[in-house]
Amino acid sequence: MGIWGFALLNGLSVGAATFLVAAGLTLIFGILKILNFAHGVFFTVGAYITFSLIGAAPESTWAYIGASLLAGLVVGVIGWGTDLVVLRRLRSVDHSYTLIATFALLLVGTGLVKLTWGLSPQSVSPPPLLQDAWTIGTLVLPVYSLFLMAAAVVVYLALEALFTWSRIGKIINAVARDPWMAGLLGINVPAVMTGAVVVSFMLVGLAGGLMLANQSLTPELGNVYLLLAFNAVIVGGLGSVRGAFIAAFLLGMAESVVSVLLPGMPGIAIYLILIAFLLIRPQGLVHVEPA
Amino acid sequence: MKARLRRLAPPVFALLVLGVLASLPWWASSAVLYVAGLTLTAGLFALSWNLLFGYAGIASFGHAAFFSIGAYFTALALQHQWPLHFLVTLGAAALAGAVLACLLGALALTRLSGIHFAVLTLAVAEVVRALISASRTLGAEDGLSGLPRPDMAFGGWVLRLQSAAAYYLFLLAVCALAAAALWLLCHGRFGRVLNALRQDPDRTAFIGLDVRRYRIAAFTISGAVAALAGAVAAPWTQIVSPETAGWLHSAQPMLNTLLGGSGSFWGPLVGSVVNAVLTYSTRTLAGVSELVSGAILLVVILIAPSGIVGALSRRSSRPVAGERTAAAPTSAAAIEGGPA
Amino acid sequence: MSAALEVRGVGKNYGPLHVLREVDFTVGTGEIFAVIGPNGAGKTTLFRVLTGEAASNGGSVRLHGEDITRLTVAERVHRGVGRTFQVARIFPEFTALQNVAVAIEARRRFPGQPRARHWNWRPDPAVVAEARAQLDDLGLSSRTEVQARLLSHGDRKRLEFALMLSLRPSILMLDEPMAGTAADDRQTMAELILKVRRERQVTVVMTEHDMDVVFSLADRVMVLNYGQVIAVGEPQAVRRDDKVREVYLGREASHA
Repeated sequence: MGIWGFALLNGLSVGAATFLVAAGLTLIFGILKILNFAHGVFFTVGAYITFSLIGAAPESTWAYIGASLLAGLVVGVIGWGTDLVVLRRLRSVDHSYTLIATFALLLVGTGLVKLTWGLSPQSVSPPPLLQDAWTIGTLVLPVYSLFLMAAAVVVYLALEALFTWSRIGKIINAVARDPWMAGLLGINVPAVMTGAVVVSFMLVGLAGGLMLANQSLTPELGNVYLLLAFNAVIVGGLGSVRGAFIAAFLLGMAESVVSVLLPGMPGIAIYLILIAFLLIRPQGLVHVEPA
Repeated sequence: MKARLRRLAPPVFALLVLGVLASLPWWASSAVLYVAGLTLTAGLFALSWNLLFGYAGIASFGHAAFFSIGAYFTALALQHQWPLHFLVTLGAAALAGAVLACLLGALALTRLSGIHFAVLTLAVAEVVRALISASRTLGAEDGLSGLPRPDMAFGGWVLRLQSAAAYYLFLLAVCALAAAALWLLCHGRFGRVLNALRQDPDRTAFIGLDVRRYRIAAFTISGAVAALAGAVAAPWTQIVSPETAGWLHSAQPMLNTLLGGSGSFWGPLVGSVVNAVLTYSTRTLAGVSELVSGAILLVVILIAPSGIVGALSRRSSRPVAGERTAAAPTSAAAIEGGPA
Repeated sequence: MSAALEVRGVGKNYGPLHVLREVDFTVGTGEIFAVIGPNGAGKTTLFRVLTGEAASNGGSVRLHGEDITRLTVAERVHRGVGRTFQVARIFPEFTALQNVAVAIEARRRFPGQPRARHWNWRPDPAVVAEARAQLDDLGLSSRTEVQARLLSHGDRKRLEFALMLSLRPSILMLDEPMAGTAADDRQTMAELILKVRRERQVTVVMTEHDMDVVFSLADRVMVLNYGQVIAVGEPQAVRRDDKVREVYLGREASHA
């Protein structure tokens, strides 16, 4: 497979991974108007929970997916608790305080992860079905990468369907645009907000589980993805799932292309694109109109 | 009489604290001394961050970029033994920070505000970190270690700072002087303007002040001081690594400032000390220090958003004229809904 | 009477939406000039173009003969523009005294001002004294140490006035100065505007909804509707103008 084919694949893989993390982040921003700094830590928690459930060498793909879903659920519950104890109290206060609170949660979460699972890196191999690669002509496609891409697409379509067609989605949109008005219309705004937090956490916990294999599991794992997710969310437009999807793949591809064109160059393409966007088009690709 | 005593209290207190800090090399263990030195630079770093956040109302999430520029510049100068007087090195490091901050500020502060500006600073810091990691001259991932501590010649007389005690005292002097300079700045007209700017930028324009210029100036000074903190920290730790520009390091001044309270000048220093004490006393078990720091910060946010200093000062009587009185969150403008 | 403010052909549009069209008028020095019109007529936009907060699409604004069309807000303030806002904007965390002091300190650094020789980090005692005098003049001497955000609505408006006056403006741009004030306070505010005009020889441009105030205070009135000037002149003449009556017919009942 040519170097470009490899770059393409790599870009799509990174894009998929980025979107899986970014989906929840942009969701929580759309509703609460905060960038959740703790998002990365909950990714890590999801990964560790999945690890605890299936061990270092899972046999069944379904078990792997199932464990990830379960981890997502657990993290969602943690999110619900977090909302109850911390975030809800800060709803009516300045956003800066909620931001700091999420940062504090990041610290608390990292500490708990280290205490529970220790510092030494763990390694999980993908279930046998996802281990090899399919060869189509000269293209070598690792199955695991395809799995993640499929997962990203599934999550995206599910979210799109939710927001565009379902009633719940429209309610969430209404609360995101104008909470006060939504409240006047009889929508239970606090419940929707809590719900959005829970869904956001579930998504990131699930992402942690799905992406567990093929990398070194450490307490710092989530931070790397958090930065990528921040990028995708800002470039895509804060609060837009569609924007995050496009941006995630765009950034992933950009990084790959740059690493082919300029091999010595460190991985800064993504950040340079982010900086360019911030200076030229800060509202991102898909601008979500506030009320 | 009482008023005069009250006016004298803070400077006397400050001198006392300075005295205690200066005495450390004689009675503290080397570990404690090391932490004290780190706390001093962390405190200066936090002060530089709060000049921006608490005074001008601008949040920077990538402040470690400036710190690391200062640190690496000094590291290079020491390791390759450039024929520069160490004070010149420090000055040049601070200047480097100032230049980057000025450029960034001029470019971004008019266009961006709030969260977008904050993320921009984060992105810039990441670029700096990535560039450092990729550079062989800068030691790449391993960084530069074994940095020698400098000698400084003054006329015929040479000041040798190789020993921990000697360099510590130099470090203390630099940090104290820088803090004093910042104090004068923040309590003078510049600080008052920044304060006004944070509260209501449009109103500030309507009293005839060039908001943009003041913001850029604040950012430049903040960058310079952060770089100075890094420059003076490098020979203390005797090692610099790309993580010095990393995101977690950028979060340190935020944590320290908010713990102590962004509404007062001394908050960042108080917060740095508290954080250092916490981290040091919980250093044995991995994960406990983050847990404790994070938990305390959470408690502070939920119960006393203006930090430790804020909570304490609410008990004292009327604020001194010129001192910021914010007990309620005022940094909203910094993050959300900054000026267009 | 020489012209303090000359506005020629000012237009403003947001894309296809024209908020102001070909607005032309002159305000003489020392005049009290009121801009009125129904909601959405463009009064606020016109105001913002005059103060420099919004850029016009075409046209020019001259202040005391000088073209200020391209100048920033701060630059216009240096040339004598003072402004109050519909909802009084002051510095909420500063005390009343600090509010005015910061304005005076700013004024002392306007271009053209003699270099203030003051090296202490604390405010110059001369500044503080002037601030106190300013607050006294506006009846706020009992409030000097009160944090601005704790002031009553009326006190805040007066503080904002004090802030504006400490900049020694030559033209006061008052955005709905009576907004939110009770009936008796309006009288006080009207008297204040007249007093200031008399004592400092300033020109006043104001937008307002309260017709009684407008007709008793203003020397001349300009009526805007859909971004265009439909009448300018002395209050009584404007009141009798057919076009104006047409615009306001049916609206007088809704004015509380």
